[in-house]
Amino acid sequence: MTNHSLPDESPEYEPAAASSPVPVGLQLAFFALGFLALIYLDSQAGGFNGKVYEPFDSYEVVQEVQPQLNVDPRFEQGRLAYMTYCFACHQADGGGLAGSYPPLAESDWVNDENPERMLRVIMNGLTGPITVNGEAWNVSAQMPAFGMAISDNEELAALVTFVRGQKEWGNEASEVTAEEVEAVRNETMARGMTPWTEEALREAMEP
Amino acid sequence: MNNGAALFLGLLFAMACSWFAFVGAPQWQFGQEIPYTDEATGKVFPVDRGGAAKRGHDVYRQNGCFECHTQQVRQQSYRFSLVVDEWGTNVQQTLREFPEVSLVVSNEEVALPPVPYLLFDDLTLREAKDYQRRRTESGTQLRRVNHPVGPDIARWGARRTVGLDYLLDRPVMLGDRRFGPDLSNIGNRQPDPRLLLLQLYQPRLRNEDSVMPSYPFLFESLEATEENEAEALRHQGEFVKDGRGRLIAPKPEAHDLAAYLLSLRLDEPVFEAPGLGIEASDPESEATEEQSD
Repeated sequence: MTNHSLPDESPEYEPAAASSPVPVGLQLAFFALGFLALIYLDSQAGGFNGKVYEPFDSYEVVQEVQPQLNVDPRFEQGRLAYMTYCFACHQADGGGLAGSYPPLAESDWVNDENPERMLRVIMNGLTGPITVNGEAWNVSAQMPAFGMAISDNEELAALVTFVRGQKEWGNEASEVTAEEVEAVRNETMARGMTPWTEEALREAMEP
Repeated sequence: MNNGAALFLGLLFAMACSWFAFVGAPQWQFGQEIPYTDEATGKVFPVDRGGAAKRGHDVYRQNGCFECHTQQVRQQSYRFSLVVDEWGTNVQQTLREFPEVSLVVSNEEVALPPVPYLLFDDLTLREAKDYQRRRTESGTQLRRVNHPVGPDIARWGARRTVGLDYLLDRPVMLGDRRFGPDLSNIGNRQPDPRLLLLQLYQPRLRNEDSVMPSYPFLFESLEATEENEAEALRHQGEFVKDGRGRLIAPKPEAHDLAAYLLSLRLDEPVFEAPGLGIEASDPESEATEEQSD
């Protein structure tokens, strides 16, 4: 504000804006406002994460309030494997098909305390007449070997755990670990695709 | 003008700030969203609309339905209930740990109530977690169930709407006024296409006080013959007739619009909006509710 005189009336005169400093108080006020605005933004924006919506505060909270499912992931992995490999013959209810495929539900082969026999059957398949729950089965169909198809010990362990622990079928046998599966796999590797018979199983498992 | 450059830069800065906040930042937040595939079940969400529903989207747009109806449900808060999946094996100990529970008698046998058992309702996250942490002694399994809360949820939605819901909509018609109810879950609340068509033809048939305009041009009048009766609109068992006593049948556009409305559903849970609110209500109670709207 240096020039307070009246405008020059000469034709060359060009008006110009003067400059003056912003008062310190106002600068401080703007700074404080900006600071509060950023605090508010920080508390309300959910970390600018596209997955966080009102009323959640952060991604961690959204994760925390996800539905708690009443399922065991290992059991579900086993169910998936069962529906892939076993379901076609042994059926969804584990009941098998009368005359063709023996049942898994409440079967003494499945509910055996030691899962080894069941694992051997899965590894190399099974053929010939067998006895399930005291009932003689003379099945023409041969169970194929799944040892190669299910090469992941963890998956096979989950599958066997599912079948042995499926309470809806009346099965309540112990869980099976991947180590147990690996032990049986190493023992039966040499047998390859040659299916077991009940006789051969008994001989192989004799101590 | 001696400060032209400063003025230009100042304006540019102001515009850049607002562009960044309103265009840039949302693009950075949501721009990469793609349909989500559930690894366990292989389901994809959102599902692209099929033929009729896709055409119905255009009918919805042409008739300006979004002028009076929104497609966005808000959520105010969230609450939890605690559900027992498995009681502890020791009944005495379980009862000591859960004094809220009383034994039930069935078949002359005294036992803990059958599971799943609703133990607590309307808890905050902190309270629910607290119970889960402290009451573990008897081996009872407690599961948290999340309930979205809010006036919108109570009236219209099973859950809040999120960005993913609109991913395949071109254009997105959120709507900004609610002269009528929100429609983002209408396919769930009103699953009967005949009632939707009736509402489009003459809203006052089912609710005398409705302010919704009627859309008679989506319908045609047909000769009152027997073969036309299959298509014709009915209300309370009677055929709806126009002034000349002819039957009313929906044109393809009306069918498309109904198909689009039926495709608006919020019953698929998403990560961003965990938990589901009200169950899909049966059409009977829904009809009376809309009467009172």
